[in-house]
Order: sequence, then C-alpha cells, then structure tokens
Amino acid sequence: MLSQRWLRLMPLHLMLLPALALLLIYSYGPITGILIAFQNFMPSKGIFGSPFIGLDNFKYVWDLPDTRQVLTNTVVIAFFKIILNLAVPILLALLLNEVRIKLFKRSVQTIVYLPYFLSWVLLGGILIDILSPSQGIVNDIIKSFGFKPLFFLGDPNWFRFTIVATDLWKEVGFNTIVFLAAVTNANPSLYEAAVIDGANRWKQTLNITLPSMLPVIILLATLSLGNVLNAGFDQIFNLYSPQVYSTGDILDTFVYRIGLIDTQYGVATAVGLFKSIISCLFISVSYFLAYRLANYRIF
Amino acid sequence: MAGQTSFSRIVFNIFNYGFLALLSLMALFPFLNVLAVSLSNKSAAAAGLVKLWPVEFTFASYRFVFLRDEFFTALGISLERVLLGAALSMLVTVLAAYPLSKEEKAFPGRTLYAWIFVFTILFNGGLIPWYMTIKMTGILDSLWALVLPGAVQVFNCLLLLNFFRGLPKALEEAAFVDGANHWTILWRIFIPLSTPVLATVTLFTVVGHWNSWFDGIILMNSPNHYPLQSYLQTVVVKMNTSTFANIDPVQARLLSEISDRTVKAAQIFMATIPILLVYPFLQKYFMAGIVLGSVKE
Amino acid sequence: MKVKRLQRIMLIALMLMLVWITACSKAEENTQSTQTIESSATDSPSTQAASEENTNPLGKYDPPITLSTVKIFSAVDKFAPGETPEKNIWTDGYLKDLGIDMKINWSVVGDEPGGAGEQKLNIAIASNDLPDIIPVNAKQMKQLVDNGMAEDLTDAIAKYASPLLKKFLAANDGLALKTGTFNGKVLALPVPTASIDTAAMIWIRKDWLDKLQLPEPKTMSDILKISDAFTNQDPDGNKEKDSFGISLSKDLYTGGLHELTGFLEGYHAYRNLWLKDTNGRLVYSGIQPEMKTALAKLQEMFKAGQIDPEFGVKDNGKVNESVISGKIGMFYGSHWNAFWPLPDSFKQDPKAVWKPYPIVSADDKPAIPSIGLGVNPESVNMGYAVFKKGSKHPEAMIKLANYYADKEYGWETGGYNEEFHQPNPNPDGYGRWRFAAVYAPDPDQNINIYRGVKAAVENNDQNALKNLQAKGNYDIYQKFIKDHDQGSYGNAIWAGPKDTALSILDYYMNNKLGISDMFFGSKTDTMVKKQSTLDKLQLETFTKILMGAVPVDAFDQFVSDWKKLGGDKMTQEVNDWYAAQK
Repeated sequence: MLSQRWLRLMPLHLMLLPALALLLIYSYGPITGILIAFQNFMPSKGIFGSPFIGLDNFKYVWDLPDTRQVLTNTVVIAFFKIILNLAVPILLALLLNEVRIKLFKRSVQTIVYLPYFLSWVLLGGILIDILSPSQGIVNDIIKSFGFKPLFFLGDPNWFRFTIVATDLWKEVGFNTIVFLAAVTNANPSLYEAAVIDGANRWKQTLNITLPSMLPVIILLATLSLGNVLNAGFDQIFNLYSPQVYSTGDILDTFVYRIGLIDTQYGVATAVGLFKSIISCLFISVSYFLAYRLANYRIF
Repeated sequence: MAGQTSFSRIVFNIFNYGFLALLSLMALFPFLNVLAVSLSNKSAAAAGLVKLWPVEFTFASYRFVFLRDEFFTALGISLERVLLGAALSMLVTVLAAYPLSKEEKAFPGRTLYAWIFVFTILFNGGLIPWYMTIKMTGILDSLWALVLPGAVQVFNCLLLLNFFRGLPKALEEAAFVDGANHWTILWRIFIPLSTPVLATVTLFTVVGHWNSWFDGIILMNSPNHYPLQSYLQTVVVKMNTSTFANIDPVQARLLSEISDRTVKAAQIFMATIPILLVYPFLQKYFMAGIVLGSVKE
Repeated sequence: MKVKRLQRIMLIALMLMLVWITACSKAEENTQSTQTIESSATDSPSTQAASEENTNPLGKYDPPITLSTVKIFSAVDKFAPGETPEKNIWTDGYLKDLGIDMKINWSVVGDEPGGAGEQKLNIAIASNDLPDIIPVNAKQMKQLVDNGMAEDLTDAIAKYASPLLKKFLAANDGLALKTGTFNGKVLALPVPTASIDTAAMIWIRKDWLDKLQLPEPKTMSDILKISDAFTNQDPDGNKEKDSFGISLSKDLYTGGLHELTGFLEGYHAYRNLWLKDTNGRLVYSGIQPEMKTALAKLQEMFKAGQIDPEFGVKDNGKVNESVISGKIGMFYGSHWNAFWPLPDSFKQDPKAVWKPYPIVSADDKPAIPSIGLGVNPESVNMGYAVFKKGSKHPEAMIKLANYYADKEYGWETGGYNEEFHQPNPNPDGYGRWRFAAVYAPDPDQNINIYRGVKAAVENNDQNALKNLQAKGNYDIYQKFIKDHDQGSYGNAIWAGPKDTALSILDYYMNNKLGISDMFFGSKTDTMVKKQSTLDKLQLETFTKILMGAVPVDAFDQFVSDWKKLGGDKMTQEVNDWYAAQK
C-alpha cells in the first residue's frame, strides 16, 4: 500500500529534479554572496576570508543624508507603478476581449506591445522631444486647451507622474498578454448559461470573466508587491536630471550614482539584501494571509 | 434581446475601438520615429529634424549595416540562444509546474518545493558570486552560459501551476482509473488543455532571451560571441564624453560614425523585427478556451 | 489538430536541444584542451629568465615567456578583417622581437566610464580572476593597491624604461607617475597624456559674429554681449526668436562640451580643484566666492532667455541637435569638438563657420584654464597599467611600454613603423594601435601634430613632416583646402595652422596658461565615503541657482552644508597629505 503510493509520487519528484538541480547550482550556489553584506569585502581574500563588520554597511547607507528622501521616492513611484501596471493591463485585456473583429484585435495586441522592445536610452531621447514644453506634441495639445505647458521631465512636481505614465506606456502591451491568456480560462458553458439568463455583457464580464481571471490576478499582484523597492533603474537613469533629484532619485540610481556599485561591494550587497528582505516580507505576508483567511495557496 | 442591448453596445463599441486605436497610435509613434530616422540623411538626424517622416530619404544606413558582418553574426547567436534557451527553459519549467500544481494532500512536500523556488526570485548572492559560480561550472564564453543559469523561470512556473490548478480534476481522476501515469497525464491532458498559457510562457521565455544583454557582455569573452542585444548595447551607447580629451586623432575621425543616429536606428529597427514576428504566430493559441469547454462536456 | 501540432513543435525543440548538447560539449572540450596548453606554457620558462641582469629596454626573452592581459575596446574601434585581439601585428611583434607570448584572457567593447569594460573588469577584480597585465582606471588602481594586488614597478621602471618612455613620463613634472606612486613605490604605470588636452575653449559661429557686426571676444563682457545678441538679434535670420546665446547640458560642468568649466574660469572659479589660498593652505575651489559671482551671472542669462530653459533634461547629444540645426552659435567646449559635433554642423549648413577662441577673463587678470595631471584617471583603457602581484617578469610590462613608444614615436631611433598604428593606405579608418597590450603615447602628440602642420603650411618646412602623424594631418588639411572635402573638415579645424582647436592649446602652452589640481594623491577616507554625496549636492545646488529655482544666496547655504557634511574633514586630510609631500 505504502510502496504503491510511493510509486505514484515518484514521478512527481523526478519531474522536479532538473529544475531543482539547476536552482541548486545557479541560484543557491551563489547565495553565500549574501555574506558580503556584512563584510568589508576584499577581493584578494574572497567571501570566506574577508573580515566581518556587522551591520556597518547598512548603517553607512542609512546615515547618508539623502537616503530617507530616496526611499520615499522609491516607494511612491513603485507603488503607483504596481497598481497601474496591474489595473490597466487587466482593463485592456477585457476591452480586447470585447473586440469581435479578429484582425483588429490581433493588430492592436501586436502594436501596443511594440514599445516594450525599445530601450530606455532610445525612448529617453524621443520622450524629451514629445514632452518638451516648447515644441512637444503633448504640450501642444495641452496648450490648445488653453492651459500652460508642463515641463514633465524637468518639474519635480510632475516627474513622478511622468515616470509612472511613461512606464505604463512602454509596458502595458506586454503586461496584457498574460491576462489575455487568463481570459480564455473562463468556461464557455458559463457564458451560454448567462446568456440564457439574460445577463448582458457587462454582467458577464463582472460575474464570469473577472472571477475566472482571479487566480492569475492574485498571483501577479502578490509577486509585484515584491517590487515595492524596485522603481525601475533603467528608466529613471535615462530620464532624470539634477533638477528632479528631489522627487525622482530612487534607491537604485542613488546607489549607482554615488559609486557604490563600482567597488564597495559590501554596501552594494547590503542594499540588495535590504530590498530582498522587504520583498520577502510583503510576499510572505500576502501568501499566509490568503492561506489563513481564504484557505487559498497563491502558489 | 439583441435589440435591447444594441444601443449601449454600439456606444461602447465606438468608445472601445476608438480607445484601442488611440492606444495603438501612441505605441506606434516611437517605432515610426526609429524607422524614419534610419531612412534619413545623417546630419538631418543629428540635428533632430526627423520626426515621423524621413528627411532626404536614403538607404545609406542599411547599406552600412549590411556591409559589416557584426550585426548578422550577433543575430545568428541570438537565434541560437533563443531556440536552445526557450526549449530548455520550457522543458524544465513545464516539468516543475506539473507536480507543484498538485494539492499538498496529493503531493506532500509541494509547498516546501514551491517556497524553494520562490526563494530564488527573492534572494540572490549578487553579481560576483553569480559570475564565479558560472565560471566554476566551466560554461563561461559558451552558449550554455546564457542558457543554463536562467533556465528555471520561476515566475513562468508559478503562472503555469496556477493554470494547471484550474483544470478540471475529474479528467485527471478518470485517467488514473484508466491506468494512466503522471507522465501521460501531463503530456496528454495538461499540455493540450493549456495552450493559451503555454503560448504566453513561451513568449515570455523567448522575449526574455531575446532582450537580455547584460549576461552576454559579462559572460562572453569576446565581442564576436555577443548575442544581438549585447552587440546593440555596444552600439547604442550614450556618448560618455568625459574621457574624450585625450582621444587619438585617428579615432576622433570615427566619432561621427558611432554617433551616427541613422545607423543606430537601422540596427534597432532590424533587431526588433524578428521578435515582433513571434507574437502574431503565437496568438492563435490564445483562443483555446473553446477546447476546454468541449472537453468538459 | 492544434494539440498535435504543438506536441510536434515541442518534440522538434527537444531534438534540437539534443543536437545542441552534443555540439556544444564538443566545443567545450576544445577550449579545455587549449587551456591546459596555456598553463603548461606559463610554468616552464619563467623560472630562470629574470635572474640575468640584462637591462636592455627591448631585450628579447629566450625562450619566450607567456603573459596575459585583457583588452577593452571602444565602440569607435574598427579593425581590418582577419585582425583579432588574439592575433595581430602587435602580438606577432611581441613574440618575434621581445619573446613575449601575449595571451588575451578576454576582450570587450565599451571603454566609457561605467561601461561594459569597466564592469567586466570590476568583476574580474572582485573575483580575483586577473591577468598579469591589468589596464585600470584610478578607482580600480586604488582597489588593487589597497588589496595588495599590484606589483612594485619602481625598480623595473628605473632599470628598463627606455629614454623615450622616460621622457614621456617626465612630462608635466612627472605628475602622472606620482599619481601611480604609493608610499614611494610605483604600483601602476600611467598612460601619459597631454595635460593641456582638457583645457576649455570657446567655439563661436564666426559667420554670426560678422553678420551681427560683433567683435571677437576679449573679455567676459564681450561673451555676455554675444550671448545677448545671439539670443535677441536673430542670428540665423529666420525672423523668429528661436536661438539661444550659449549652450548648456544637464551635466552642467562636465563632459567636455556644452558645459561651464571655461565660463567659470573666466571668473577665476574652478569646479573641483584643490588650490592654494593666500595662507598657503589647500582649499576646495567649488565653494569659493568667485563661484557665486559666476553663478549670479548665469542666473541672469537664464532669466533673460539666453539659455535653453529645457537644458536641464538634455544631455550632450541632445544639445548637439541645437548646434547642428543652427539654434546655438556659441558653446564652451574642448579641442575634440572639431570632430564632434562640428562636422555635422558643417554638413547640415556649409555656411556655418566655427572658430575657437581661448577663454576670456572678467577682469584684468588672465583667465587660466584648468588642465589635467597628465593621466586620464577615468579611462579604464587608457588610464593605468598594473602588473599583478606575484606574477613573474614585471619588467616585461615596461618593455612592452618601451616597444609601444618605439613603434609609434621612434622616428629618431628608427623603430617607428606606421604599420603598427594603422594599415596603409587606410580608407576605412581601421586602427591597429589599440591592439597593443601596454600603451605609452607621447603626451605631446597632438601639439606636435599641430606644430608640424603649421611649420609645413606656413614655412613649407618639409622636415617638420618627418613626424608621420603630422604628415597625415597635413595631407588631410591640404585635401580640405584644395577639394573642400567634407570628410576632412574635422581634421582641418582641429590641426590646421590658424584659428583651429590645437592652435588654442598651443597658445595656452606658449603663454604657460594652465592650472592643475594640487592634490594628486589617491582619494582620502572621507572622499571615499562622502565625495559623491557632496558632488551631488553641488550639482543640484548649482543647477537650481542657475535656473532661478533658488536665489543666488543659496550658495552660502551650500558652502556651509558642504563643510558640515564632510568637506571640512576632507580639507584637513588634503592638507595633511600636502604637508607630507614637502
């Protein structure tokens, strides 16, 4: 009896084996590197020979005069990115689901994911043009409504908004894909039943499509919570400037610019570890809450 | 019934199609700009005069790219990487997602396994230990270095297991009664019923491999071994002029060549086309909800 | 049916994988076998060779020794087909003439600060995976020195450096070598460069000056007048007020063009130098009152619309657009602007006449440009060469430097061979000198080119063209004068005899104009910890003052903040260092 059960489970362990082996080597192998966060790392001595200095690396970053401002910027920008990068793609997937003309649907799908493939270096140059207060097309539109032009990239009050909006513009198409797959999750027979009951499209969307997408939405929401300290290095690095440091400088750009990445490995690793711990906290809490309250395992 | 909904439906449709069209226009803009720049006169592009239409139309930049091997060598490496990388990654990811999709009761230990997986996306040892590990496994400067270390895509795995969980349990149980084992169930039932999410995950994997450039630069020991995006990274750099003061005159003459936006744009455009073709190809697998319904009855 | 197709695709993918696994594992075997050959080659001959006291600067090792290095190229570099970092005229020459078998551990494209080369090298240093000869920037040099990973080169240089290399290293009071010296030991060989090359100059559209009947600038008030006129008197003649007086990028005072360095120097203000005050102490120039005066002027100009209000988000490349499209006719820059962006401006508008001027002063004291230390501390490729501690034959690195100096500049010794610099003829702009493992350029290279061209053009002095670099530029200049060849424009306004970029540097040199940082030690402890924060504070404050976001008096607050946040401590450390130098 026992051995029969074991025989039945054996393939499941076997299926996990390749992935586990790869993770063991390439993810858990380097994990000892976390120790560097507590060291004054010296290349000549390596991870196991460098002297330990406790929490000094963390303290050093914390004591820098700009750290608190930078953390605030990071969390604010990341928070709005997380919300919008979930909500808008879901909306877009639902809207696309309503499109009956196949060619149109496919074209829109393909086109909106175009910007995802252009780098921020390139988009940075284009955005400076588009958003320019004097010549940019966006401000031309704003001016035509009789408003004063906005310096989206140079005004500290608008910079965060610009970052979140342009990020959405670049990523929305790509983020929609997974929800388009989730839409297909709904059982067609439910729609048929709903039509017979006289439910309109809106009711169907609300009562059938959305609930069937829910597991994926919850999964993505949980995982994206882990990004609460990732506000997007590449984007901000290519778009910011001294005049918007006060609202636009984030943890990653800050650490990069003050040169910690280059040689102060201890400090750089400490920052990374801090981010990991925060992510882990958010994800674990949501995982266990979902499990306790709804008896649902997110993953 | 149809007449009852039609008016609000029409209003909605007008709004919906209009909105989507507008969105597409916005998304298309930077791409058209790149195309226009690539077909323009070099100094007009440098003067920032090119918007959506080429200025002094010319194919010069494309001729320049086609006359040099670098682009196509790198493109070849990228294609190899995507093929090998996506195949490998899909294989291990699908295999891992299946057991993880079981209930804890049916497969004791799956939750522990799941956390072992998730832990790796939360914590990492940093660049240096990562590099040293890859070096130690002896795959530095080979295609494997770009493919093996990231083969287990934990995010994709979680996505897959979530979809797998949504499949009707009755099918699985019936198959067991018929004497099928886990391998057949995965191959015959789960995979065929999950085409939309498999297409999604394939797309993610392919795009991930296509887009990554940093590993190429760090793990390859010669620019001739760079995949396309790593190569582009060396071409489309921001000009950092702080060390130019001591530039050699022979090199200085070439400055205008690397700052040439038309050539950069041409390469960006050409590098984006292949990956754009992947999506429409995969799109047909997104319609598979119907299959699921028919199986259920 | 779809299901079947998907399955088939997956099967095909699997098969492809299998093919790959076999193919690639074979490739791996190959690389492994070459590695074993390499390591055995390093072991055998090195044991005795050093014992002989043969100090010939170009002495040959017999049997040959093996050394390793890494190569960091620039995106600019182009090589002829078939010439690779591993096999080229230099590696062949090393083996044939010096008995050195040069192995290239890896090569990478991207030598800009923070670029691919620097990153890859940082990883190599951190994982202690270093070649024998390590090209580094100042930051990495310090790291290697701090970790005891750099070999002492003092003896090797004293014994083996050729007269030519010694001459190069002695230029500029030997400052370059001092920056590579720690506690009396030379731990890094600097790549000598011309300190004058970083001096600022003013580029102005002479055609605009003439059109508006403005005098050439002699003082800062002329500059302010020109800036005003270029803004308000429609220099491009399109009846629109769409031009700016002077250019500026978001980097404000770095980058070598569209920046303020030369402007500030007109007010005797320097961005970041340690200079002697009246009491003989070293003080930080960025917080001196002259800076406030200059910033106040800039704020006025900004408010008067003479500076692009959007400059704060634009980098150099973006500002170049305004130069090329004829919206800006005056900018502070460097000699190499002759190559970037001015040729594009000339192409876009052949009527544009760009003329460089020396920086001018706001009062009766001359304006003195800041100049370098004779080494490029930020360049990872052309900064320093370090020899790995514990590797055999540190003197071989000096020999390689001698070899470079001889092949590139040995017109007197007869060692010169143009084939080592570039192919001849060279219509595609291929380079070869970048393949060299160790560089030792002549710091006077550029100025010698200029003086050679000038002597040849003005006095028809054919002897001056013995310097083949001068001859090369002379030929290009002639081509531009005779045929108005567009492609030669850059060289012509760079090295031509009159009113060219190098003529300005020559003027500075002849008049002994130039001031360099009096602190040239490696970063002090406080600098390591605090300087980047202070730099950020300075850049942010200056930008805000300039744009009028804060009043000019915010400068005083900046000064006291700067002192509080570590500046005072830094000043003390720098003065301690200075006292120890005497």
